[in-house]
Amino acid sequence: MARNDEKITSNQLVAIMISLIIGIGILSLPREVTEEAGPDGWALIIIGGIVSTIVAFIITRLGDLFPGQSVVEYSKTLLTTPLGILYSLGFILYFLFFCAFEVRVFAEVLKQFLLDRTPTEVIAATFLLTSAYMVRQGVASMGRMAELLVPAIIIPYFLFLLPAVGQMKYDNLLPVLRTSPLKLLSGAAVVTTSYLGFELALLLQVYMKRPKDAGKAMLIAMPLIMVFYLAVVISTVSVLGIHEVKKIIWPSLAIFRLIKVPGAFLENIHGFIMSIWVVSIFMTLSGFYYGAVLTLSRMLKLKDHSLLVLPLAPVIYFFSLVPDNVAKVYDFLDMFSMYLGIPFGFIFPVGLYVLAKLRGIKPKEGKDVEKPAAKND
Amino acid sequence: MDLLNKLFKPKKKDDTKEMPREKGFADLRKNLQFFKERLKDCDDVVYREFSVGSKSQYGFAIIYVDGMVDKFLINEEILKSLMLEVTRSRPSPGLFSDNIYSLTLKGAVTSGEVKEEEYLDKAMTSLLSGDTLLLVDGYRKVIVIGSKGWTNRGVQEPQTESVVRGPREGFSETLRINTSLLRRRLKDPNLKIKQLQMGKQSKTDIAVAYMDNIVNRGVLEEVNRRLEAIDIDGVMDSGYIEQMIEDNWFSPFPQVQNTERPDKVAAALLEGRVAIICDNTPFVLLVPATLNILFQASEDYYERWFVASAIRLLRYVSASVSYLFPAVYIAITSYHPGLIPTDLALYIAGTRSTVPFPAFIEALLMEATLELLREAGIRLPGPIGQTIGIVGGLVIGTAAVDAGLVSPIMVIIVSLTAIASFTISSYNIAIPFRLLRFMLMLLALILGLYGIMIGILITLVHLCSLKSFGVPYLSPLVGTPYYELKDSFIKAPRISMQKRPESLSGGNDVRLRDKRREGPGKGGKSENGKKR
Repeated sequence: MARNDEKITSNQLVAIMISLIIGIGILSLPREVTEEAGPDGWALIIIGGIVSTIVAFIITRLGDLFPGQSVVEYSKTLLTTPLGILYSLGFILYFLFFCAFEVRVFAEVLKQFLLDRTPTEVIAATFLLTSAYMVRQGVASMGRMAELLVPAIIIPYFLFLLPAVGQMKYDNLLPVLRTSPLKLLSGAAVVTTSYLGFELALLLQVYMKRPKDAGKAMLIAMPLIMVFYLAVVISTVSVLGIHEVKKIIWPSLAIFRLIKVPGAFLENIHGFIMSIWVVSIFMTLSGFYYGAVLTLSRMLKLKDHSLLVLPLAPVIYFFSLVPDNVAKVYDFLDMFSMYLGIPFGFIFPVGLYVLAKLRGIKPKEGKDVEKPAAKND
Repeated sequence: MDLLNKLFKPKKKDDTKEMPREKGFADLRKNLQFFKERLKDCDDVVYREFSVGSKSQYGFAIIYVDGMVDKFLINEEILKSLMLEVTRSRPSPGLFSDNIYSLTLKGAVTSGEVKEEEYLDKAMTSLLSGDTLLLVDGYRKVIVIGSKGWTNRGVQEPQTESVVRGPREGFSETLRINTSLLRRRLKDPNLKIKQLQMGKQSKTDIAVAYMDNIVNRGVLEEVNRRLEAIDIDGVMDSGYIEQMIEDNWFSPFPQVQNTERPDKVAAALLEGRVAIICDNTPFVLLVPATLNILFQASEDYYERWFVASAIRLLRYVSASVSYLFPAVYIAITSYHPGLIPTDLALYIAGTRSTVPFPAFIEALLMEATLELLREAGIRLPGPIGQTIGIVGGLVIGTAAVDAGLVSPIMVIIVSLTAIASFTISSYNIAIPFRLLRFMLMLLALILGLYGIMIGILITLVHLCSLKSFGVPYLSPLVGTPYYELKDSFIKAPRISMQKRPESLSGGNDVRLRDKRREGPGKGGKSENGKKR
């Protein structure tokens, strides 16, 4: 039974995008924006959010030009076959690296906050295998899973944040907008990596019941993520203060050590916040993992992607264990964002769209353009 | 489905292949010979030969299976009317001498259900299902008189699904009674009851019931396709069918609902689902089944929405308690005592100080004992079952704590999980949570809270990928329009549930109109408000 024959709804795409994009980035996001812009970190989030929303929307417009095709197929049309294959290979590499970072940072965070004596390798391997099980089930299951989990991620987070309202000192966010616009723009470039993940729409649009709705879905998903990021940054900075935030490696988690739930049974809620993050990062990992598997299976024109899932797991596992420590992980992540993340997330999709427009490609309505596309319709 | 075909299509020829069709003989004795030969050593078959006519010139014979027929009907409607009343009446002589067979068929047998049968093998099947065969000398065709009438349990209160409020009728072992219970609830020509036979030897009657104007065609076709693919010697219970038509038999979760309650089936048909009724069992199958549906009790719909919603939420909570509790205990005591208040952590540690086992062994011991007790209690008659409860609950529980083998908190947790799993409305959906609890306990032992999260994720991924006849198992929680959530964790007020669930029915989605608000001056409830 081919597992990709079922389609996802537009709501499910929104859910997939939200659960995919909110990942490890959020743990260090308050620190990164504060390092760049001090108390104006929230402005970076907004700028980055707007840019990402525009690019995400362009991606879906690009998909509309080639109905029934994913980026694997139309990149060949636009860039000639050898370059198209190169693009797809780069895309796979990008996904795999992303997975590796998710796994590694996840394992490190878990080790620090929950399981201090369990080896990183065990945490990484079990997490990766669970994710492989998810990826094997295909896009429709992932859509349902995301739809189920997104409320389970967002709602408890805000509930746990509620007791912190009393501890928030809003003068930590002052002065407002004293950073120079130039600094803001360069800072935004760093922040945009937190929004990476929307480029999965390049592949997923094909699997929608109504691919035309993808643009609308992105316009819903991206601002929602922006609001969530804003809430995280503002609450973290206002509770901890700028200087504190800059020193802590994962400030978003650290604030939950300070929060006391009044009259509650729980001594420390960070353990339960960690449980929510497990879920959130699980969906992020599965999304990127699926992206890698799907790109490869479409390149090889396979009907069923599930055969490729397990062979890729050791690759991700290997990549994830390359850096020696957490600091090295973040060094790698910066490099990765610069040389793979920004090109594949922002520059290349927009470039492809401009190229398509220059060539004057018009969407062909209701026609099966290529064989692999037809199979998946 | 390919797999199913592969597994169940016999590769070798077997001796249960259909017999060649044989037509009847003109000679009465030859016909009788055929039946007597085939039914050799079947001492429950009764043959009765008799002659009719002024000179006893017309030979007749009836055959029936003793115990399966209504003897009164045979005596009154067949034997009496043929042997006595026919001679008294004066039919036109031409017809009488011309065609004794058609006279018998049309004029003499006063029974209601009569048909002709050309093939002896088919007549044999009817005979063995409780019909009476009437053979007439000189004619090839056999007259089959419907005379099924065996003793049955009658309509009783369902054992497995009792309600505080609601109808108390339950299905019985006889297919006809069951279909009549349905027909009484849905007096509509759109209620279709299609019958077929299954099982080469058992020849069990199966009926597929659905509402023609509501049913999801895709599901119906799939049901028929899967039923046709079944090739089996005998069907003893609808459980046989359930296992042959379910989507994924590696899943611990049931993908077909079974019920003893006719009101539940009728309500399901009104939602566009398909019922499979099987002879000889009171359990009717309903497809498609989703997790949400399996968590519902028919009483939810008879009570007011506020109460029903609260009880439904309680059921979901108790499912998670039964699934999570022991594992969380293991994880917290062995990995994260810092997560709970210090006083409590110290108290738990104090009670566990005499316990010689790690938390996992302690929990496993008690949970296993619980499962043993439950299993022991189920098949025992009532009074002994209670004794088991006392022995298990008081003696083992108290003694184990006194002996210092388990901590009192563990006993509380085990009792809680047991009670929680009993509150889940149907037996078959409580079982997966009971089983998966052990998987979760093992994961908690190895990886603590993170292990529990992994376990939950694996379960959720499985549930998300599971489907029942093309309907996602987790709908309406996912992938459906949001109005369907009105009938999920909660049950919205009846008046607000105006549409049928889109995920189940195929079109025709209006089930209720609020006439009180629509038209002025019209009081009372809407007529279309069909009870579930």
